[in-house]
Amino acid sequence: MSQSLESAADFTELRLEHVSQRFGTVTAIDDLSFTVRRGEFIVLLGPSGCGKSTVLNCIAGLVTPTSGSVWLDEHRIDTLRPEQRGFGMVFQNYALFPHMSVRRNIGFGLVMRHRPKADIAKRVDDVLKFVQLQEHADKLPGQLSGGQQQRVAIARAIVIAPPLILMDEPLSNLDAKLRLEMRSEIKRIHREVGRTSIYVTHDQDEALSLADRIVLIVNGRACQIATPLELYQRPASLEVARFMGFRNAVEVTVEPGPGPHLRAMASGIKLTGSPTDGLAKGRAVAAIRPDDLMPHHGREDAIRARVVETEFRGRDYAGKARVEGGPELFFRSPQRIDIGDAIELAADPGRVLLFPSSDEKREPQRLQ
Amino acid sequence: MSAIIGELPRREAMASVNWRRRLAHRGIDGVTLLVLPATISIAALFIYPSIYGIVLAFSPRVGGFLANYERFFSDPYYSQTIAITLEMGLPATLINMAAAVPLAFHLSSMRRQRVLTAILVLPVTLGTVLVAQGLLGYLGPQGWFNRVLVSLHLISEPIRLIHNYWGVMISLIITGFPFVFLLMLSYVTGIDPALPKAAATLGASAWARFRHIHLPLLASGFAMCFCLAFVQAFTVFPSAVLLGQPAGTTRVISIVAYHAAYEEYDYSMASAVALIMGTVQLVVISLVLGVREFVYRGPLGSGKG
Repeated sequence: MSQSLESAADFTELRLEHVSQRFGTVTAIDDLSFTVRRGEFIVLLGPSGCGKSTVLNCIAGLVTPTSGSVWLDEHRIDTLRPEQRGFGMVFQNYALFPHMSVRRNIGFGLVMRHRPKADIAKRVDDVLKFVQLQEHADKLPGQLSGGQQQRVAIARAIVIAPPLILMDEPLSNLDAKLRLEMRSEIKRIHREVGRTSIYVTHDQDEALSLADRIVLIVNGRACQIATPLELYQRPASLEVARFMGFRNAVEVTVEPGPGPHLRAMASGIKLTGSPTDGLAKGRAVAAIRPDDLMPHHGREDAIRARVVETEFRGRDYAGKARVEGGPELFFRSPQRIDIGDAIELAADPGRVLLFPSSDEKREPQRLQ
Repeated sequence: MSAIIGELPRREAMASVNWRRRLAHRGIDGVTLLVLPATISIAALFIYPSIYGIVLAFSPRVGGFLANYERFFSDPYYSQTIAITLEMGLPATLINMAAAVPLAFHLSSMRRQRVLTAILVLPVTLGTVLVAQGLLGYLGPQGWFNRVLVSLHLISEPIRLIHNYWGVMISLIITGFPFVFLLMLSYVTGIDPALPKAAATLGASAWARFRHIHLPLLASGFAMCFCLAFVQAFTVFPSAVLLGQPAGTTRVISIVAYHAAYEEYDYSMASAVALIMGTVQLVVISLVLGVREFVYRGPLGSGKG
């Protein structure tokens, strides 16, 4: 056992090749392939139930894929038991051993590796200091707050100096303030420990702020693998765009427009947008983030609408407006708006993405 | 406005509200009355008879107030029944637990556990007498068990499995197992499944996971289960009479009490034997629960989430 743990000590890349996982008739992962390079922070992002945790469990060895393989450089690891892989894992509910003190929880992995006692004590002390839990070392997990438990879970995973750290929605049980603190904490740990991390979340803010690259998973399939910036600005499909916050999706007809852009039209709507997938003309869907759709007056391609809902958001107002004979649109406004106001909305052409109409695609795509 | 003021409680009414609130603060309200029927029946059916029995046990037909006990402990025919009963009750309990724990582990991770659980628990519905009758036929010299073994030439003459120690032991295992199994199943399934998974990712083998995670978390449950199963096995009576050798090797302590009460009509002696029986049980249970003080007894999952 210790041999395989040592051999896992370092790697250049982790590859998932055509991994599928079926539970009975349910397909949790559908032919998923991606590569993680050493030192990277990879986030698996997707809506709840999309199979992202199953992917993580496949890598950890807690689930054996129905088909496909997982490789650590030239070693095939999907047949190894979790205890033979030597990866650190942080669970969503932390999974701290309730009968062991913080110190013993953290030292567990080292005890399993039969390290000398003095060595274990020193390593545990170092890690306790690193996660700032020295004064809680002798408490039981039940006596700690959620954020402290979270730090113990991370400490327990990093103390064994794993080549790869897997985190399964580690922040989802924390309150908003703590979540932000722990997020930067996780970033610090990744930076300072310099290990490869794979992180699962459904929260796109978390994904954007932590990841080097994001694997966006919907219905068990990887829809896009890209850097946060790419994913944010150039989602590969309407499905991805919807998940990445493009709340407005308007059915339009497009024709070649000014410069590289396209003119998009629908009843009551005139927009200028950027084409994707070599789209040139015909039916399309225009996707716009509410943040990019704002009141403008006197623009040629503005959309006339009437405000039906408004919400104060501190920095600005969030609103919903109905286009006469057309759809409802979500927008933001720096000025105060009231229900019933007539407004003209417009967006920067670079921020309006035009996707081929979904019914022209082979598979109908559904989100949530 | 005036209507609202009219609806406010008056001063006298306020006093009664305060009084009620103070009681409610101590957990006493109308619902508390629901405890009455149970309290009355416990007092009538348990507390009073217990006190009556204790008094009876110390007022023997002849001799001083300890005469019954002198008789019990001076005559090996009586006193050895404690050892005989312990020799049956303790191994039966341990065997049942040893069999139930791995099965409970296996079942807790299975999908179709309901059907199997139902089959395993079925003997509970049969009752000891029915099981004893069945075993008499099945394990007897002319029963299936021996006839199959003889016809397969595995044995030359029938093995004696009834009317001795083994008959009672087998019956205790069959009737006691479902109970132990159900208890252990509920303890085992109570453990957060993420805990052994976390231990595995930290390098713990299956055995190490059992030893470091399951065993400490289950120790308290083991102790409780042992106590309950032991009390059940220690009071064995029907199977000791039907399947054992009630005058010899399986003369358990309850037979002595029965003998004193319904053959000698010495209720005082019978009460004394019952008290001795209870004391032995209490000693064993206190020992086990004493050990339990040293093991972890908190929640079986991690604190939050």
